[in-house]
Amino acid sequence: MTRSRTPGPIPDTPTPAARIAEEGKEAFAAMFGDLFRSHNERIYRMLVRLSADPALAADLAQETFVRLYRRGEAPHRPEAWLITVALNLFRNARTTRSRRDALLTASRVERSLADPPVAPDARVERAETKTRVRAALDHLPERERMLLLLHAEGYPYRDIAEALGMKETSVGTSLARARTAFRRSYQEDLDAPR
Amino acid sequence: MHLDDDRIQRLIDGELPAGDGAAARAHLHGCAACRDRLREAEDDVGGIHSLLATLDGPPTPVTVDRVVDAASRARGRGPRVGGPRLRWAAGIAIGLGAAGAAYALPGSHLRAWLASRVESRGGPAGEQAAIAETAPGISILPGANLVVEVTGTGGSPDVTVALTEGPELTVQARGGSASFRSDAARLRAVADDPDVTFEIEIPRQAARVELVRDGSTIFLKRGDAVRTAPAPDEEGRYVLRADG
Repeated sequence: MTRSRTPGPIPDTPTPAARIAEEGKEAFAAMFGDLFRSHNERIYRMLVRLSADPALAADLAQETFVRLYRRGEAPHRPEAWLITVALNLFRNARTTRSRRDALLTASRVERSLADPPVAPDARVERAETKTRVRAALDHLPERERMLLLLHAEGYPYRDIAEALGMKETSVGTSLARARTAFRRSYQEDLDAPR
Repeated sequence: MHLDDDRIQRLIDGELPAGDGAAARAHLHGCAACRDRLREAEDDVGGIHSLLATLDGPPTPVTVDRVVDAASRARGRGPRVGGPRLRWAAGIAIGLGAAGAAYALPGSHLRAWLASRVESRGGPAGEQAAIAETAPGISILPGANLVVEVTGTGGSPDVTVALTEGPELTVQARGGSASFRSDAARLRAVADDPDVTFEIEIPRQAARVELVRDGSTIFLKRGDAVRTAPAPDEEGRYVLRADG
């Protein structure tokens, strides 16, 4: 036996499931906005320092947030997730580049560009410092390089450890070692005869 | 026992557990050697952070709107008209081996676009075909200062410049093939044929863009000010003829 049913009026209020979904979207949007405001500049800056290529850094930073946006929900540890994705995108981009293009290394690119015909002393000095800093960073093993850059952005040890796949308890020692290595390399370059 | 490197680093970063932190500070109170080491380490951290700051580039161009827009495009709503469409076109043109297509020299973002766009291309076949017929070109986000150099292997190319509301600077070659190379501060476009002309779109929001043809500055945009010889035509474009 079938029971006939007269169509009732369309309810004005959303169903509980729809309301929860809508609230979930709003919560995600709020979370996304907060994360973007807190980390957009930091991630971009870290990628610029890492890649020496602001355009690439912008692309990668944008892609990092695109992935978070498309995820539609907050990762368990958002900060660690963001820097992990950003660093993975950077590694992928670098691998793709080196395989296809045999690109110049970042420091060589900067050297080739740092050849203004005439420049004031301060500008030349700044360019030389930048080249030395780049060279000192390039001398470090990748993990130490990333460690220094993440530390400079103020990320907590727990997030740094997760992003770099290391134990949280070894971050302090590794940072101290990376600092020493960076300083030594920078100083050696400074002391080298020109 | 003196503080080791790990404890000193954690002390600086506020990463020592409460109990350990109190013990470390108590030790520091009575140990001049460890105080010196802590001070040195703090100076070192500050110095390194200052040095790293010399590598910084222009402010980030990434905005929430751009992210949402890119996420929407990635969901398959198709490329938006403008810069990304041009990137896509260049990628497709190379991918299909179209005659006279753009070349991507080492350092050009074009290659990265090729990788991303060819891998992710979708949409109706007609749309792809139409896009593949567009002119070879390149599109980049200008930083605080961008120099665009144009030149030609068979003579100086004519250039048309338009100011746009979009975020990206684009250079397109009309009438033949061209090569492009870009980095953060410089974009070079070389016409491979004498008939090639370049059409350049410069974002109004770009801080400083200098256009150089065969070593001479022919157009300079600094903030809202534009310095160039010809007045804009009725459509607001600057036509910079090589023989003018």
